[in-house]
Order: sequence, then structure tokens, then C-alpha cells
Amino acid sequence: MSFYGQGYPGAGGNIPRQHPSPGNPYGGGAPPGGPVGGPYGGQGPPGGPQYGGAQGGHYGGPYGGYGGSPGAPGAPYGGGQAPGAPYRGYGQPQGGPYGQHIPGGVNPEAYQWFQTVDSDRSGYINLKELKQALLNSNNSAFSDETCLMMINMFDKTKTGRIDIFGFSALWVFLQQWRAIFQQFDRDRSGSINSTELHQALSQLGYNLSPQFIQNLVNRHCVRGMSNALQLDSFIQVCTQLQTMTQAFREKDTGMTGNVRMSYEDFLSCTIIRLM
Amino acid sequence: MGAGHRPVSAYVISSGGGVASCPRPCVENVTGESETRVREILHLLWVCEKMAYHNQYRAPQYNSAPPDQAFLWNIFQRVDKDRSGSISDTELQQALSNGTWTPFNPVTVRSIIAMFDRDNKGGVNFNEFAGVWKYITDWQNIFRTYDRDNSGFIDKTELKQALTGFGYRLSDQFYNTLIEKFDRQRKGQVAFDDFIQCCIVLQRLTDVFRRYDTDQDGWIQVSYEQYLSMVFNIV
Repeated sequence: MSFYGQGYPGAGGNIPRQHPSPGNPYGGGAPPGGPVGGPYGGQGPPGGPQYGGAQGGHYGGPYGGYGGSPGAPGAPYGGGQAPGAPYRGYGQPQGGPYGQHIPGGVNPEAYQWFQTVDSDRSGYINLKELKQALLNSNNSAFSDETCLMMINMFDKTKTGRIDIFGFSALWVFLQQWRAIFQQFDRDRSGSINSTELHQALSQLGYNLSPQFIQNLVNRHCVRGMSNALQLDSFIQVCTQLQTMTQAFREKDTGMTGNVRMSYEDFLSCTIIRLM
Repeated sequence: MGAGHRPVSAYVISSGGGVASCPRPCVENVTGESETRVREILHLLWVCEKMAYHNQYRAPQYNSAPPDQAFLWNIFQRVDKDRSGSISDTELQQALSNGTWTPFNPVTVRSIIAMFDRDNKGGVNFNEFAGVWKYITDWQNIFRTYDRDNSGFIDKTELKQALTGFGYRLSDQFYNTLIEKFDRQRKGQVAFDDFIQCCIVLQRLTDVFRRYDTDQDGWIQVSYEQYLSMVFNIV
């Protein structure tokens, strides 16, 4: 199946990956596989042992069973060029985000952007600032939902805003998703229709029915638009898929694609993953 | 505990019977007058007091008439800082206080706005705001019952009491999970805004679980896609 899945050993990632919140017991995720140059022009962070996922890389495309999401971009707290995560910088005197030099582990380009986006110069990006900074290809602003999801993914302090380190990771995450989006937007329409989404998701290792995908698109497409996802919804859909697939996988120990679970099992495994 | 009933599922939520019911969004017109309405106003005013710019909110009619449209309109205008006629996430977040000096949980704000924002415009207009107002004060009402010392937080025991009051039957272990997940401030306790979010999530997950648990035994068997469908729109 997926040209991108077949036979590569580590399925090392360059697709955005949802991070488990720090301290989350489920380390699921990025296999310790090496970097896979992959179809995305090597934008991805060198997959790296981002959170020492016990799940390893053997899930994913080749299985076909259910969703692969082998190494998706992201890994806010881990991935990235600097092994040791952007947040390593905490606790060391950094001289603040607007200091003379770029804090360690921060992507220089992201650093430039941060100063533009942080319009009130608070040293943090909040929902409003992020929303103002991000555009879909039809020039619509990113949705509140997507912005909030991303802030929560990269917000270490759970205050609804992100600092320079979080922003740097977010910036990389966005670049990666944008590249994937463009790759799968085959007709260059600036949006991903259900056919394109189906292709994208199969290549990412998910085995989902056309009906399910159609439903996803229907639910997430902007009203009044043709039935297709803009970049913001695409990122949101893919990120949620990853997260929830991990949750299911954890329960599906026999890899049968079916799970029997109690009420509390269901609540716990889902709640812990919600963003 | 209904006699004669077999012990139904683990998550029984009994109907009525004096237990507190979990606020559900009510999108009706809420400016009707009633005894409960008067009580709500007291809470409204409590919210007002907690608002960032509280002084302006000390409305005179503390225990007289229920808030009329003019009263709500007054509040609406203050919250709608950019005068757009619609209250955005940011505006509502700034107006609300969780009783501690930290920003109101933006996820809670989003959940609430999304409940009342009928045409998905990214905010609530004046009519919708009336519903938002009632919804928040209903929660406040409940929260205050459990937050006896007005600290702005409830601990695990109180959370358990609150949720048990709603009809949830959950294990001790699960309450640890809830605290861990919804304790944004890492105090081992849950603040008002996080409490609302916790309850919203529980409600939604329980509703969807019920739909799949057709024989009501507290267990479901679902395929991968079914699971995804269940949880996908619960953010």
C-alpha cells in the first residue's frame, strides 16, 4: 500500500504528530526509527526518538488494519532539530524572547515570525494573535477550533498561550502540514476534497471507508464552500485522527480492529487524549 | 435507587429525583420571570462582581426585578469590546473570571460559544448571549455549592460529590484521571472553568456511549471507525 509506508523500517516521522501531554503515560508515537526523507521534501524533523514511544513503528501503513499515521509531523515537545525539545530551554536564563540572540532550540525563521505575530509584545501568542497570523489559501482566517487545538498542543503552561519555544515547534508543525496539504491538493484548488483526503489518509496509513471520510469532510468543511477542507480543518482532522487512533490502538491489543470496552475504559482512554 | 430495577449500567444517570441536574444549554429566551430567575440574577451579579472590571457592574436591582433585556444589553455591550455586535472567544474569556487570577480556560470558552453560536459565525449575538449568561450562571450555582470556602477550586472529594449528584457512578481511580486532566493549575484541585469543561466532556462522552450501549450493560463493542465516529466531534 502506501508508497510511503512500504517497507521502510522505522516509519520515522515527518507527518505532524500529536504530542501526548508531557507526563502522559502513553508515550505512543513516533517510533525511534531514523529519519525518513520521505515524500515531503525532508521538511520533517528528523523523526528521532521523540517520546520513546513504546508503540514502536510497526504500526502504520503496511498493516492496513487501521490508521497508521506513521510518524506525522509535530512532536511539539520533542521533535525538531534540537534533540531535547524546545522546552529544554526553560529554567535557563535566556534573556527573554526579545533578547539579543535567538534562544537555543528555536527555529530562526520562527523567531522572526514570533515577533510579528506577538502584536502586543507580551512574549506570548494568544488565540487572537495566532488567528490573525494564519490564513487558509482562500484567505480565510484559521478557525478558532484549529487555533485553539494548536495552542493547546504547544502550550506548556496550559494558560491558552504559547511562548517562543512552543511557537517555534508550532511553526515547524505548520510548515510540515502545509507541505502535506499542498502535496495532496492534486488539483491545486487550495482545498482538499474527499477524494484527495482519502488518498492522503491512505498514504498516511489509515484504512478508512469512503463513507467515513465523506462524513469527515462534510462535518469540517466550511459552510457555503464546496465540499472540501481548507488547511485549518485538514490539520485539525488529521491531528484528531492521530490522537484517537492511538487511543483505540491502545485498547485493541489483539489488533483486530474491534474493541470491547467498558464505560470507564471508554471515558479514560478518550479523555486523556482530548486536547 | 429504584426498587425492582435491575442495577442498570455503570453510568446510570437517574432522572430527576432531587439530584442536581447538569446544566444543558438552553437556547430559549431566558428573560422570563420566575422565582428561580431571581435566584439566577443573584448569581449573575456574582459573575459580574467577578468580572475584570467589576465596579461598573454593581447593578442596583440586586434583589428586585429580574434582569430585563436592558440589563443584559448593558452587560453585552461591555463584554463586546469591539462593538461588533457579536461576542468572540477572546471577549468572553476576558469578561469571565474563574475566581482565581488566571485566564479563563479558553477551551471552556470555545465550548460554550460553540453551543450557542447557531450559525457558526465564531461568536454570539445578543440573543444568544442571554443563553450563554444563563448557562454560565447555572454552572456557577452548582459550583458554589461544592466550593464551600469560595476558593475557586473544588477538590477530588467535592468533584466526586458533584458528579455523583449528577448521577455518575465512577471509580475512585477515574476521579484521579479527571483531576489530572482538568487540573490546569496543577493544584490537585479543579477550578470553576475547568470544572465546566470536565462536565461538558463527560456529558458528551456519556451521551455517545449510551447510544452505542444498546443493552445498557455498561459495555460496548466498537470497530475502529465506530470509535472514531464516537469521539470525533468531542473536542
